[in-house]
Amino acid sequence: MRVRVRLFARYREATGQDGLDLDLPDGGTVETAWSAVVGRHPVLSQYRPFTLFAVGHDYVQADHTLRAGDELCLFPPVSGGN
Amino acid sequence: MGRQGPVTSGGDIFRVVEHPLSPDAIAGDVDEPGAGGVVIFSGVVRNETGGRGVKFLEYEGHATMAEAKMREIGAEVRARWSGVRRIAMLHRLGRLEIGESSVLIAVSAAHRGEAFEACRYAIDTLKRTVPIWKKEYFEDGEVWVGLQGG
Repeated sequence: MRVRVRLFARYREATGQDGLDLDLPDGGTVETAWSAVVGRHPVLSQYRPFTLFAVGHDYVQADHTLRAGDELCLFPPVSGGN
Repeated sequence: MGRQGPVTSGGDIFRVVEHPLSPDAIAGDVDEPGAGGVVIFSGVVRNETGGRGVKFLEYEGHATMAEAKMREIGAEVRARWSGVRRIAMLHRLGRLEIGESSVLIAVSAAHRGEAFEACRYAIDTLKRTVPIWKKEYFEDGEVWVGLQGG
């Protein structure tokens, strides 16, 4: 199944891309997609513990099952500030 | 941003923009005859971080999801504080200079206590959940700011 991945902020800069398309096996999860992205962009692997995932407009966990046509967003931690 | 217009619900406003923000305009957005108090929070670009001089900032975000998350915050505010009359939340993206406002939140309520509490809740929650990032440009480099910083 086809899934669109969007990259933001430092991830966009680190990879030189704002997104990529993945072909994943049916039943693939966010974690499956992450592994595929890191396969193409190993520079991202160091960020795994800090990364937030969203599908559509909702945050999801790494074990969330993806569906064909989903848009998966990989976010660095959000802006913060005190 | 390819957007079609204001994102509103019941007169509330939740919007990501690329133009300068105006406290006067947002005060008007939450104007309501039943309001006895209006609290406005403006987050502005500071000229230093940890003693390092900042030249300017750039904000980047997922605009449609940011607006959706701000709308959720608005719904939570209304569920918690029944005296709240109107809420407006605006976040700016793009390059911002020192002293410019990056985020404006205005809350009007029947009484001031609720307006203060709701506004505080809205900005604190926005910082945790709204997908927007900033890059600080210094004299000698640049850095993306995450949850730990800023």
